[in-house]
Amino acid sequence: MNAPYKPNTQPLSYREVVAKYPAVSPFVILKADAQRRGVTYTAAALAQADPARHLTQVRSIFHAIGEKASEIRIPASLLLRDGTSILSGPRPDADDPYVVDFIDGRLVITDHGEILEEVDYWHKPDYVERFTSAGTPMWQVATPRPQRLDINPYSYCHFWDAGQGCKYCNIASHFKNESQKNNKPLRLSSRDISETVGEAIKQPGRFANIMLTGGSVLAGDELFADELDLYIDVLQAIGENFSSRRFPSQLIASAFSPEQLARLHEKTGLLTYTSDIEVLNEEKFNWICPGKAKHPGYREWKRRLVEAVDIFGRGYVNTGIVGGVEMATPHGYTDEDEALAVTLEEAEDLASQGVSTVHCVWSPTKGSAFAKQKAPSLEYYVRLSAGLDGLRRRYGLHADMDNYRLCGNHPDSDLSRI
Amino acid sequence: MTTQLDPRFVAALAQPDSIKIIATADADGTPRLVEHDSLHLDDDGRLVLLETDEHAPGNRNLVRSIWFDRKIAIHVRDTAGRHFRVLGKPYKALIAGPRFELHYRRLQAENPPLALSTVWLIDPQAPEDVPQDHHSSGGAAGRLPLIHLDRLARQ
Repeated sequence: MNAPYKPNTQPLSYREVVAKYPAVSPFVILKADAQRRGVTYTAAALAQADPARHLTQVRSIFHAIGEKASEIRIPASLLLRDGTSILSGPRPDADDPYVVDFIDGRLVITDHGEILEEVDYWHKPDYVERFTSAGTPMWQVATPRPQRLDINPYSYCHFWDAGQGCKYCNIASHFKNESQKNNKPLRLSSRDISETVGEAIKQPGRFANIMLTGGSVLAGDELFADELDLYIDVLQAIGENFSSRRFPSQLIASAFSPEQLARLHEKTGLLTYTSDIEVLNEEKFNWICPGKAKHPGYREWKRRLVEAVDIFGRGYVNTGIVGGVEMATPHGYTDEDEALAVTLEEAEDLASQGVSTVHCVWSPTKGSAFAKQKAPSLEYYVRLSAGLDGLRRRYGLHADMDNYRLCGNHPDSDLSRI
Repeated sequence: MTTQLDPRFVAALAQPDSIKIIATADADGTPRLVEHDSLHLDDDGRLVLLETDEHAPGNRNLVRSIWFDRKIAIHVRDTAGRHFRVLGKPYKALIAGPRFELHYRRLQAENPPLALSTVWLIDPQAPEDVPQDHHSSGGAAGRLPLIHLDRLARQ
């Protein structure tokens, strides 16, 4: 068993990291740190969140905001001046969050009282106030980002049936809570999804991408067959709204076989495909994602990603990792240099075969097995982001399908703007 | 906005037929000049530029400028042939929100094939004196003039 991770020296602060890495955007460094440490709001800042204009209701598979009218409305997330998103979902357990305040007529993000940058709240699109023909509030069907529409057709992950879910993930506990508290359904109706998309895309310039994701469904004639059928059904329903054969879209799903991927590509208008391998080391993957380790396993997951490039095309397939979770205790790396080297070596292997890797910033989440853990240093995330961005440039891969606008979650793909 | 702009520059910007050019620098320092008809002033005194090409090198340079607090140059020639130059710094890149949507709708109505990527808001900095006689550099104040002696020779 490895000793708990302890940095050898005091981790660098935001300002120190910005000074040490002058070639990396300070906006992206701030985004990474805010997603790492979490964000809270002063009363003055919350008073600026106007439910009539700003997004203050969110129903996602990992968190919820504003489900009940009686709840205090907090802003869904933040935008920096340069268009970078900070995904700042509720982090009630954050022990040293950034603080959004309202000072001298501006919303600002502060760190221990120091103003770092201006921020804006995400605006609410028109569709969220509407209802489907079945009476479902559309905000419960699709969650908007500044330019992306997120849809979670299936809100539970069946890796948790045998307690084999990924240890950083709270999808199962979150669904259990929300189904009891707020009657959240397991599966969204394809008709509701189609109508919501149709309404959402009426608003000029509001959306440039649709993302579908949900929990893994292992059942069917073969592994993941029922999950595939579900997404084909949903994507065909969504496709009714478009005049083009294919439409800007991303599916983040289980590692479908090449035959399944071919069927998905042929039967739907899906443009890009992602299957998250989560941790780029087989030993750590087996520990952190025990269900995925069995179905279908690390090496097979990688193989399927590479096969997907032949079907969807180069630049249209990627994988996501939970950046930093490779340092979780007790079996994770204890040295950031080692963790980074191993991760980037595997990412390079994938990049050389046409598969890009993007990372999210691991924020230990309530309801997950790793809820009490600590994420690595900000410097680690900056090095990881620069490393992944560098690999894409070296291998001629673009990050467009998951960039600052079509996604907004990944510091590494934010760097691809220049 | 506190930078005082020459009223003639402001008038030049407002002319539909004036030439408006943005100068930025590529990552390796190579200058890049792009004509932007959309350039105009907003009510706050900021320059507004509508970028229609997400992947344009000029757009990347604007991102680089806002990221690393670098200046850009704006050059305008009015319909009378007068030149004006102002330095600026990108303040904000709007990719969503009501103001973005307003410009998106207008652009779509005026020129449907064009799509809007970003509404750039630029803080004007110092206006530069641009000599209207383009044979003169405008940098001679306080300097020893270069005069070839044949020009002074007694005939």
